[in-house]
Amino acid sequence: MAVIAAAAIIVSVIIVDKRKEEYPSDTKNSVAMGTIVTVKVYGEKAAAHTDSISKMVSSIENVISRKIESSPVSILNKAGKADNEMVAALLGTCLSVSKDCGGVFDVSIGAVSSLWDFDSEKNVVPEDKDIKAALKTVDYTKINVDGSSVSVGKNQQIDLGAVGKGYACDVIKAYLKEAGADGAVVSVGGSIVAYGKRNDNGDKWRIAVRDPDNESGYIGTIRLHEGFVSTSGDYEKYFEKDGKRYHHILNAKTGYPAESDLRSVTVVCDSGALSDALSTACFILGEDKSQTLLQKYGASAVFIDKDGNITTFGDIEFEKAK
Amino acid sequence: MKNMTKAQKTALYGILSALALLLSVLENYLIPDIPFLPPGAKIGLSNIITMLTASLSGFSGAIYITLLKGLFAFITRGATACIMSLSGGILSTAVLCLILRLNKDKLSFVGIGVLCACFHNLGQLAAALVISGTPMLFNYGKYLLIFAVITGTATGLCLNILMPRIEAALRTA
Amino acid sequence: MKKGDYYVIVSVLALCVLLFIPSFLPSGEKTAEVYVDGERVKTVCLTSLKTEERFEAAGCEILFEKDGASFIKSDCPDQLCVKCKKLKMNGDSMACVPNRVVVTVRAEKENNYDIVAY
Repeated sequence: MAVIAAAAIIVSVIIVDKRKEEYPSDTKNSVAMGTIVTVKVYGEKAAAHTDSISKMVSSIENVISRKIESSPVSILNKAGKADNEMVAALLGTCLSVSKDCGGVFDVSIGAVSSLWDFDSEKNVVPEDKDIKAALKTVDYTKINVDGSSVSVGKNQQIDLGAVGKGYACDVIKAYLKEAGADGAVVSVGGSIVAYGKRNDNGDKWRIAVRDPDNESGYIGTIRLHEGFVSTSGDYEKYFEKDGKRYHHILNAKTGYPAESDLRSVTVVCDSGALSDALSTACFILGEDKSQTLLQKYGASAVFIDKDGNITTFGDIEFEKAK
Repeated sequence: MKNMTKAQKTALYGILSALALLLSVLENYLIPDIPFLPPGAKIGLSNIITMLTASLSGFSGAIYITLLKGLFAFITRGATACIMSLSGGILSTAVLCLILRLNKDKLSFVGIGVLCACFHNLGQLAAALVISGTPMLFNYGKYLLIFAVITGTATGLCLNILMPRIEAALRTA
Repeated sequence: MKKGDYYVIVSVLALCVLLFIPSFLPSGEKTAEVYVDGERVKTVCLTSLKTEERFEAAGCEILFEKDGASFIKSDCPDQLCVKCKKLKMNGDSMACVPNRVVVTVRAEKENNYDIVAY
């Protein structure tokens, strides 16, 4: 009898254990801008939001990608000038950060980016003389923005790859507001926008920060009600040659991958394009030199250095993972 | 078994081998994957034969059946199935013979059957872990153990009933 | 069957129970959801509740506490929902069938985050 009772208990235990544990939200993934867009909406009309957002990201890509021949940015790179509100607005933000970081972040780095060509997986270290030649075209002071008119210096190539995803987040936030969504958290290839209510209890959103050494792990979570989160790390796009890692965050002053003692920087602020630009700049500058920059923009950050030390800067709620 | 002639022993082993393989095949075909069951959970009918052989002729007989099953698995279902069968089988058979040697009337075939089933699963899980490199598989362990109890009890009960009759038949052979 | 058999069976089953325990340990946040006519009308994060909360829907009154949710009042004739014990474990559900109200408790996934920045 006891055996049967025990067996019955075990069976019911199995049944309860097998139930799916899912948090009440609607998550949908799609691909746009060459990366994964994850939309998590708490509320109704989740599916509709996802489709709209995905289309939105694609249309942004059609404007700012230098790999798409017909995009305004490509036209800008070919003709030296273009007229587009989106590009102008984005460039404005980028110029501001370039000024404040001493030019280590500079979207006119296109010629140098092309030499490294991280996306192609050719994995070749360009010749130093080629880099020096390309570096001559890198100069943000030659970029001019006047209303929606943009012009660049001779042979300059604009590469908005560092800020595209963050910018998409800005646009997505505006969309969510207009669409009347209660709350959502969206990731465009790792750049995050958190908007609105997470649930009826007023809880904050929890954004995990990826572990540089482990694709499926995280080193801690940032909690916030609303905001934009961007991470720049040496693990996203890179190749290794002769024991050295060449990652995709190029120092616009040297033309080479930034030699920083950091593995990653995660920046939180109230604009997506800005958080993208700042995270790139801070990665290049290193932790100490980033502080003034972050302060100026009212941003906060989480730094992970090569020894695995995690430090934060600014008004940020960050909890290390156990 | 001691009183049997060589010819009789050969014949007996032949029958036992055939039965073991037959039961193996039967349970694979008759029982499709119940969604409830984790993949790899079996009823273990052929274990009846292994336990029987072990009782009659000790470790050497039982291990022979185990290796035969493994070979059969290799021929019919491939290398992985063979490794799975052998890893579980060898461990289970070793424990089986150990118990039979130590046990003096404390356990009937039910207890033995359950333990055999448990160790069979353990052996297989260990092999699966080594092959796939994923410790996560141990999560299945808890479910497999429950089935081990059920199947071990079932096979054990069968043998409890059958054993006296088999022994009687062999004595009068 | 002999005595030893029982010992074996009981010990193996006991081992199983032990192995199942981890899935019952509190794993981060617990939420309660209320559905009326199949539509979710309320979500409450139980673990971050500071005081108990009450909620009324379709003739039922539901109590949310830090460790679970329960029906405390209902205008239905059989009162099964009210008689049911507090829903505490992940997946626990109870319904007030006449009013078509369902309350479910969920524990979140192992992941203690909503999304990952990388």
